[in-house]
Amino acid sequence: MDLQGQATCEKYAKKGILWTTLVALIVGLVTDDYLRMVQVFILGVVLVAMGVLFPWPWYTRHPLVFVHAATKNNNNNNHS
Amino acid sequence: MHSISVRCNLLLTTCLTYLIFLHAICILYGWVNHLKSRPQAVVSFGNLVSWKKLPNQFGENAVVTFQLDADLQSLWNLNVKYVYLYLVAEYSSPRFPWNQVTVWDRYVERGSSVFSAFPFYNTLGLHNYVDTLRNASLVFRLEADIIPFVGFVFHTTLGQTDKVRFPLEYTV
Repeated sequence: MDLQGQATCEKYAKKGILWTTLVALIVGLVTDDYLRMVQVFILGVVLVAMGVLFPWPWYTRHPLVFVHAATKNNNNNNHS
Repeated sequence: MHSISVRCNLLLTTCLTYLIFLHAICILYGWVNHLKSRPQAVVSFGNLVSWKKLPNQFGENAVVTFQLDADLQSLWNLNVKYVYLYLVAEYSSPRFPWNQVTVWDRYVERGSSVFSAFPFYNTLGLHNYVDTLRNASLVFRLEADIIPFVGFVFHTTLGQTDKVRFPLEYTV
């Protein structure tokens, strides 16, 4: 992943878990079922994990551009 | 976030943090609902089926019947796993002024609205090997322990019988 992709991935991971928690809490309060709440939470975590653990193409859209080695050597010779 | 292990670490720590938050809300919700709950129960003493002396010096055995009618609907909420109901016989004896014995118990899970309390073989009993229960005055009290999925165990007394006096003479 490139640097910007890593920042995006971290943001998605944190927001994804937050929304999973809120949805699981609402499901638990509505159904009055603790096990259902935990199941929804685990399902949400698995979906978020699928989306952030792997280097998907949207995380590699801004690669770093490195300076070419030959150009760097020419600059050094000109200075000396 | 440059490697999968770092991403796994972030995911794990975030999950655990929010899971703790979720369970804290469950504990709070269960506590508030427990304060609002108003369970109703009527416990009535049936009759003394048999009352006899055992072969050892102080041993006595009593078989009694009782009737339970309890409405536990208000006890159930998100954070209740099951309710442990038990009947306690409380009495005083010549040597010990306050005795409490669990004579009947039952695990009640969500969804089991009606269950037969009698007849079935009761594994507990009122066994007194120290003093005599002749002419003793007993009170049977129905109590409940509310077992949560997470957090504190709550205890409540649902109801009790009037005082029951055991006879002076054995029936068997």
